[in-house]
Formats: sequence, structure tokens, C-alpha cells
Amino acid sequence: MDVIKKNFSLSMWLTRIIFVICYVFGRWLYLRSFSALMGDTLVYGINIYGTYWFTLLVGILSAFLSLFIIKLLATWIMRASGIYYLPMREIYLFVLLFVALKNLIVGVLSLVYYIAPVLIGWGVIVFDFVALLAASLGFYFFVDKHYVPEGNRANFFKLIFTLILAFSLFKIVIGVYSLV
Amino acid sequence: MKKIICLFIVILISIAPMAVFADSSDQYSAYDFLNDFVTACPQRVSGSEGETLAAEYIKNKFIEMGYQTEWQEFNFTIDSGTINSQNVVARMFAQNSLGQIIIGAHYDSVNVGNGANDNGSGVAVLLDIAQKIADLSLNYDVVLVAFGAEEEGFYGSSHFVTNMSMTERQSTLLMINIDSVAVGDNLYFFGEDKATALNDSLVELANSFGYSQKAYAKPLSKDLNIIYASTDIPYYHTGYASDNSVFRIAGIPTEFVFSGTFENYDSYTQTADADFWNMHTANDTLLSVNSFGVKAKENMQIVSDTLSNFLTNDDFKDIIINARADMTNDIFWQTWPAYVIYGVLLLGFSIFGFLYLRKLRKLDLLTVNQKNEKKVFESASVEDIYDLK
Repeated sequence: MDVIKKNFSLSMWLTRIIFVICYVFGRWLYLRSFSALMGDTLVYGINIYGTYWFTLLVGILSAFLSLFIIKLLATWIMRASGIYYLPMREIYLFVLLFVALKNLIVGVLSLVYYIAPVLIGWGVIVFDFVALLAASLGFYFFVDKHYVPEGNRANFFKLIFTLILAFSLFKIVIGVYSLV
Repeated sequence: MKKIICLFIVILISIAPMAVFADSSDQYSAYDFLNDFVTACPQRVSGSEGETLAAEYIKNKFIEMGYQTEWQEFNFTIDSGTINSQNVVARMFAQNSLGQIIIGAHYDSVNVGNGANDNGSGVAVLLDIAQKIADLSLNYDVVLVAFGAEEEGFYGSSHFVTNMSMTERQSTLLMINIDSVAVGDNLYFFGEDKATALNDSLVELANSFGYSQKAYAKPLSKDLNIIYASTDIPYYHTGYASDNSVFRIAGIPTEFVFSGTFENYDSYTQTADADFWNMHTANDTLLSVNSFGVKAKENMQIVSDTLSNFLTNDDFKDIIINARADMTNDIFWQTWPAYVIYGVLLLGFSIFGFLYLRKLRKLDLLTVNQKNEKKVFESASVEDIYDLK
């Protein structure tokens, strides 16, 4: 912790690089589909959708966009929930690290598709949730241990719990809606 | 006068067989195309010179009929190296098009036999349909495709689908695949895994021409879940063992026409018929098809008559337009169990969350000072007791 605090700027850049790598690794399947779609619709006639470089480019660009969106969301959520006792810039760093962890878990679990492609249908739904739970709880316990003052633990857990619940329910509703 | 009568009789006798032949030829024109095609292109293994010659043969036929043609080259790598192949595409545009219909047949063959049944017969039917509709004004844009490299793993159809834009895919009303339609006691129309208006109409129409050979509807596959859960095609039933599967996976409604003799309705096993069941064997020759007699010619002609009638008859317009709506919702059957698992996990997490939150609230109530006070009481010393007094 002290090392991070002393070299915060360097730590932040390293975190961003880790975030981008894990993002591309964990979301490779989606990025391939998305880049195929882009190549198909925007550049019809030029066979670029199959190239890994194009997928990588799309991945890196969307990872940087996610960095920006996560910062906005994290700031807004902390303020909206009235949590002023946490150091925002350090929390943002750990948010990025644990989102990277989530993508890393998804990426590792996705490797099973190469052995058993039959699992893709279920994997994209279940693996994502398992990774989200693991990373979110990891983030909660880490921040709770190092930053949350006595008397505020329930308040902080309630925030994390509500966010996971809301996000998961939203994904279920959207997913089931897309099926019927 | 006698001489004139004799001359007339002689002429009549000499013309009569020709007239019979002409009738027969008209009745089974698809067979004529097969005869010509397999004689001209007996070897059509993927990547071979024979395959390219066959593609040129088909392209020339399309051009003779007045079609705009396209030569779609592609390559792929297998264990033996990189293979170059091509699709031949003929397009016909409607003035007021309701959408696009693709009719396809692969023209390559395996490395034994001449591929007369598999799939010279499909190519012959494709050319026969092309000839029948060439000068007609249809409600749909029609794309006739002779696919290369099917036998190696649907490479031609995959290349074709990959090159379709999203708009083109969505405007495609139907893809009909014709593969191996000469040999076999029955014709099968593989539609969806349920009865659809499209499948029923095709079977009904096929049986309405009065040929002795009969057509039947057959489900595409009983294991859509397993097949669709993959980005690839892990294993095949007959309904999926041809180029139609690539289009169906891309979300395009398909019909697959195939001739054979399945043991029963539910079975995908052909009855053992050493004389006629010749797929992927050295016996798949024109001679073998001929030995199947009129049945082979009828099988091919039923497909040609049915499909050309289906394209030109306005009665089938609504059925074709609604084919997409009749597709089985594969995604639903593929993913709903995953959402159940998701839901159970979420429920478990919710219960844990509420219990843990309750525990934390109790702990938070005991602020630092309260805890200290509690501690005082829990470990009361003599001084504390004295103070309390």
C-alpha cells in the first residue's frame, strides 16, 4: 500500500496498462464479433474483419473508452451515495485493478471454449457473472480492510451489494428480453 | 401413291423414336444437365484443375442463359496445404424485389468416383432451374450459387456467407441447398425442427407433380442446442451435413433437399443398399445413377419442378416472406438453462448479502466507544466495580 501511495503516478499508469491488456484478453470473443460486424457493415468489400490486428485496435480503443467511463461512474456513484470518507483517486485505481481482475477471470474461463466450444452458449452468461461476483467481493473486502472507517462498513457494503444486484438483474432482464 | 404412303410410313417410323426421346428428354431435362456435366467434368476434387474446369463449365452455362456472373475466389489451409477454390455466382434482379432468394449446390466432389449423385445431380438441378427462370420476371432477386470445396468442410459457402453484408443477410428471405438428389427411394426436405408452412408447402408441391418418387418433410436436426452453442459445427446430422448449415447458423432460413432412403422417419441412418447407396464411394458414377433407373431422373426432376414452380408461383409469396418468422428460436433453447444457473447464483448471493449486511449493521451499532464500554463491563476490574458503586 505504501509503495502505491509513494509512486502513485507510476502505479496509475501500470494499472491502466494492466486494465487494457486484461480488457482485450477477457473480451476477445465480443471484440471479434464486434470487429466482424464493423468490417462487414462499414468497410464492406474490404476483407478486414478477419484480421487480428483490427480486433486488437478495436479492443484497445474500447478499453481506453472504458477507462474514461469507469472514472465518471465511480466518481458519480461515490458522491451520489454520500461516501466522502474514501480517497477517491486511490479508490479509482483499485476499481480499475478489480475490473481488470474480472476481465482476467473471464478470459481464463473462456479458454475452455477452445477445448469445448459447446460451452460458449452458457459460458458467456454464467462465466461473466461468476467473474463479476469474485472481482466485486474482492474489491469490497480489500477496500473495507484498508480504507473504510469503523461504523461505516454496513453503509459501504450496502453500496457494493446494491450495485452488483442492480447490474446483475439488469443483465438478466436484458438477456431474457433478447431471447423472447 | 403406294410409294408416297411407304415413304410417309418410313419417315414416321424414323421420327417416332426421336419424338419419344424428345419427350423423355423434356420430361427429365435435369438429367440431361447431369449427363453433360459429369461427362465434361468427371473429376472435381477441391483445389484441383478439374474443379476449376467444372467452375468454368458452370459459369459458361450461366452466361449462355443470360445471367450476370461472378467468380468468387478463396483459399483455405488443410493438413495437406493451402487449397485454392472458387464459387460461381449468377444473379438475377427483380424489378420490384421483395427480397433475395439463394439457391445453391456444391460442384466439387470427393477423390473417388465421379460425384455424379454427390453433387453432379445438385448442379444439374441448379442449371435446370436457372434455365427455367432465366427469362421470367420474378418477385425476388435470385442468386444461383455453385459452391466450391464443400467436401473439405463447407469452405465455399462459408466464404460466400462471410462476404454477405448484414443488410444482405437480413434481406435474404430463404436459402435452398440442393445436395445429392439422384439416388434414393425418397426425397427429403429438411426445414426447421418443427412443421413450417414453408416445408409443408414444398413437400406438398413436390408430391403434386404425380411422379412415382415421393417427397417427405424431415427435421433439420434434433440437437440444435449442441450445434448452435458452438461457433463451429461440432457434428452433423444429415440435415446439417451440407452448405445450408452455414446459412442457417448465420440466421438465414434454409431448406435442404436431399434424396436417400432413411430407415424410418426419425432415423438418420440410410438403409444398407449396396447397389445404389453410393455417396463418397468409387461407385458414385453416372453408370450407378443410370442403374437406379427412372427413379434417379424423377428425383432430380421433382426438385427442379418444385423449386422453379415455388419461385414463380405467387401463391407462395407470403410463405416465403414469412419463412424467417417461422425459424426455431435456437438462441432461446440454447441459453435459457444458463439464465436459470445465473438466477440461482444471484439468489444465493442476495441471501448472503442480506445476512452479511445485517451482521455489519449490528457491528456498526457498536461504535468504538460502545465497544470500549462493553469491553469495560466484560472485563470488570475491582476499580470499575468501585466506580459503579
